[in-house]
Amino acid sequence: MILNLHQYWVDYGCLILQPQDLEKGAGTFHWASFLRCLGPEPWKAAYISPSRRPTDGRYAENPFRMQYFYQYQVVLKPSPPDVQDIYLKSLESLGINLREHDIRFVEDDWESPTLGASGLGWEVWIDGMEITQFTYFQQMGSIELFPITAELTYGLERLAMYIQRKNNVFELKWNDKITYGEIYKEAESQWSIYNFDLADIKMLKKQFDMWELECKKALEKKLIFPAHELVLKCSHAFNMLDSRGAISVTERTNYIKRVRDLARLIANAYLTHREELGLPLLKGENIG
Amino acid sequence: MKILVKDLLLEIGTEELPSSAIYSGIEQLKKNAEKTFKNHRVNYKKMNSFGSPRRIILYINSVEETQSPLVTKVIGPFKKDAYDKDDKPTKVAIGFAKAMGVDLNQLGVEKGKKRDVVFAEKVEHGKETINILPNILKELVVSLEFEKSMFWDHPDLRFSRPIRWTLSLFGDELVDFSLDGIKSDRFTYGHRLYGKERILINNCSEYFGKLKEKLVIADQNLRRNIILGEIEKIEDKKIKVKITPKVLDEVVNLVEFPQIIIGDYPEKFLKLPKEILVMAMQSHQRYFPVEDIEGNLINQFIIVHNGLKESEELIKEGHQRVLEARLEDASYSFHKDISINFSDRTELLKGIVFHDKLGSLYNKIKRLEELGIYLADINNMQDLIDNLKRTVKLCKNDLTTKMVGEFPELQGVVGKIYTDSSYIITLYEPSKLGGEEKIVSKAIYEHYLPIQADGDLPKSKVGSIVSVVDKLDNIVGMLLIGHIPTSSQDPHVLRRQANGIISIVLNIGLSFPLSDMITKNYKLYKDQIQTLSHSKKTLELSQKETVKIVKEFILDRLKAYLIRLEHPSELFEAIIGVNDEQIVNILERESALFNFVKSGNFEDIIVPYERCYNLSKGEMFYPRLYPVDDKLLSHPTEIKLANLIKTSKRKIKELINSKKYDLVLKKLSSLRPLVDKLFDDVLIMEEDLNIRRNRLSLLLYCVNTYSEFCDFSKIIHFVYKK
Repeated sequence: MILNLHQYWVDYGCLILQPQDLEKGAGTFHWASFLRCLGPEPWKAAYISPSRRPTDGRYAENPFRMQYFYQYQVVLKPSPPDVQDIYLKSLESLGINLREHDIRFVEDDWESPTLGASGLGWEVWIDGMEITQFTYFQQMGSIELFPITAELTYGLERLAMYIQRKNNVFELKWNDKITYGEIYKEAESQWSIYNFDLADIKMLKKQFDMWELECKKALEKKLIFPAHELVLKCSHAFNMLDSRGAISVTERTNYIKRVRDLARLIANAYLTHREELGLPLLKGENIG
Repeated sequence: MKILVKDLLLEIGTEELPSSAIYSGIEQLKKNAEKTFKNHRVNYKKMNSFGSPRRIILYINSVEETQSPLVTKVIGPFKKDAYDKDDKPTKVAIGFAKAMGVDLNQLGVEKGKKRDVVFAEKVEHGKETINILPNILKELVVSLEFEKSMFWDHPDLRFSRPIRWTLSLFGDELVDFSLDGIKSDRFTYGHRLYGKERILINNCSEYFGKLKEKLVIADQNLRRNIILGEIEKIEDKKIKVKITPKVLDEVVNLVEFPQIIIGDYPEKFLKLPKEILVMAMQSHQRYFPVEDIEGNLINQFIIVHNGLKESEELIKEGHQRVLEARLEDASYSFHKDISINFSDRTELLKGIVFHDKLGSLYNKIKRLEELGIYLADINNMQDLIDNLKRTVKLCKNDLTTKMVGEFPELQGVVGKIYTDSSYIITLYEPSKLGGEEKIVSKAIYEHYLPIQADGDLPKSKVGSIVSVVDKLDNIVGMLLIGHIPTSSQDPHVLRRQANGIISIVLNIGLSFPLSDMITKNYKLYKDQIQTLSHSKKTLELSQKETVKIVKEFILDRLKAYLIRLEHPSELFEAIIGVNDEQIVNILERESALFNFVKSGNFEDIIVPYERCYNLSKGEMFYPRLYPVDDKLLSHPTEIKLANLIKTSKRKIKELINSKKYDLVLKKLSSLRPLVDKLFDDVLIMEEDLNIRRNRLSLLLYCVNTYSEFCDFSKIIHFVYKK
């Protein structure tokens, strides 16, 4: 499945990138989305993004909700006029015959308060199953965007469940011999216990403060990429605190604001930096 | 001359629009088009707008091919200057006609303000409609506004979702315009499954037919009828489909070519409470549940899909799998939930923040208990207090369940289900659900009502009381930490909650003094905040300020309520000048006054009142200091009036106490003849100071009698206009 998607998007002209080796809530946090959607330079990339959402853990007892899962992320800037058709063809490349199915684009407005990001788009349904999140970014790092980036986020487990006709993620076949559950179920349940019941709250709060300070330091030296990774660490510490139920409503708003402020600074610094470089990708036009 | 006409078609082709944007687009497009066609003087026979996920359409039948002429009347010189004695035009007339571009004999004469004047009717001939359409249509597309709109690859366009094409024909002629690079054309696109294959439309009239061939029903009403018709076919003597209007509205706009399938799900899920099953089917997946004749669910559901008929088996299988997983999920939550005693969950409320500055939900239910008991006490409903206390203890417990975590809309419903003994009996498995009194379990559900404006109200007294104190507690809490709604923002829907309080107290006739309730509520907050460890131990507003602000807030909603009933707000102001504490009482008085005013006899009160009021209002003395002195009364009329007022005032007080407000007003209007006579017969401003003061005292005495009912001075100049 992944190989097919890679092939399809390479053929379309995307760069195939690797996951960023840090805990992230979604593929959007990857620098290839968060930073590269900023400014006028064109960008086309595809990559897998392991995603961690501690509060979504269900001790491996829920048929499709997990705290760790995989996304396949495609970002296209500027968004091509026929982006919906391009996307639908990628489904065909996975062997899905569209004419045999009920395909729907169902309104979904996306927002990430920590990234200061928002966009409009859809959940894509195939026979009632949500398999992709399709978004036109409007704002990132609290900056209004133009040109607009189209983001396609395939839920790989969902897609596999659909193709293999399973209604429980842990029953997915990884290959002929072994199931998804046999590989991940134990970890999923243990992580749920750790995220919800064990992780040290004091340590997490301290970590958050430290990463935040470190991030600001990096920013002062205009070290955008390190600053970006440091804000990801803050964000993950916040998510962990959230799943431990350790923060009240107001505190929560406050933490979100702290992450968003950093994200905004990074986004602005990145824009300035690219302009100083003379927006190099603008000249090449075709990067694929 | 025969007027030539053609049909006009505009299709805005988009990527999939949200359902609400389709409805709003359809409505705006027609409204704006009506306006702009009128402004441009283009006549037509009939205008309609339509929409589906990928298009919003304007279709106008029989549009005239030329604009109507524009006739402007221009007033020119005086007649006496324009024509000589023999009525021959002078140079002035010739010059004016020339300037206006009309013949001399087309000039007219009419009466001006002082003298007769000459006028000309300047006629501007209409342009050909086709020439002005491009601008009109372009403006129309741009004029549409949405709750949320976005940018895509055209920097100068904003829309709900990207516009990808526009089709625009006047009969068979292309209306040529460009929207930031998107050029209008003769092509449309069919159903998604046909991909990018475009459809040529030669003439407006073939548009709907050709689209239908490519599996698009562009008319939303038609799609709705198809869905309802198909559902009707399925229904028979044994089964009924449960259609929620909100879900239907959405489904209509989720598909371009509706098809219906009946799916089924494993029977074992029917053991779940009906409300939960229904929610799992409706929310997110937008399926319609199926019931038997008695209203029990059966293990089937209706899918409205957008695929091809021949692929139904595969599509059905997919949807069934998704629903099964969702039901599995709901069932898991349910079984987790019922492994805990429902009443034990009250302890868990200590860990749920109501608001950071205002403590936990546990703190809240402690306040509600005291407020509820107080409210029941002063309304002589002491017999309810046991059930009331139990309801308050349990009413927020369902917020700790997994089920409400999953489906927040089910708050209250889950509380009811998990406490309802009649439900528990039918559950054939061990559970720790609590079998509460029916009245308690019902009141838990009811305390959230009304859920929307004009929604159902609580029916039981217990439910009503808990609902009122819960809403009041929300309002007092939010206002006292400064979360005061503005005209555009009301995130905690405090206005709706105040409206809810008003509807409920009216519905069951609860009465309570606002100031006392708010004060009590404030004190409860204050005491609790002392015990909260992490917050500042002081409140932002004092007790006095809080009472004032909350009272104003609620009275304001009361006023809005009356304005909605088309009652003049002046009447309300007059009433609260005398009583601003009891909601029900204010409304009863207002309604009596309104009916009285409407009956046309208002003068019988306001005329005598005004005469008494105007003369006496300037006097800086109090009747208590200078009561009417019988000995100083000399004229028979004033003696008679003094006696009448004395007996009337007593009677009016009695009538007010027994809430017979219609009779109060009748009594007040019966004073008129004698008051009128007093002004006819007696000189008030007598030179003798003592007599004068005594007569003014008599007038003030009259005024005060009127004021027992309301402050009439606020409506002296009020005239009722229907």
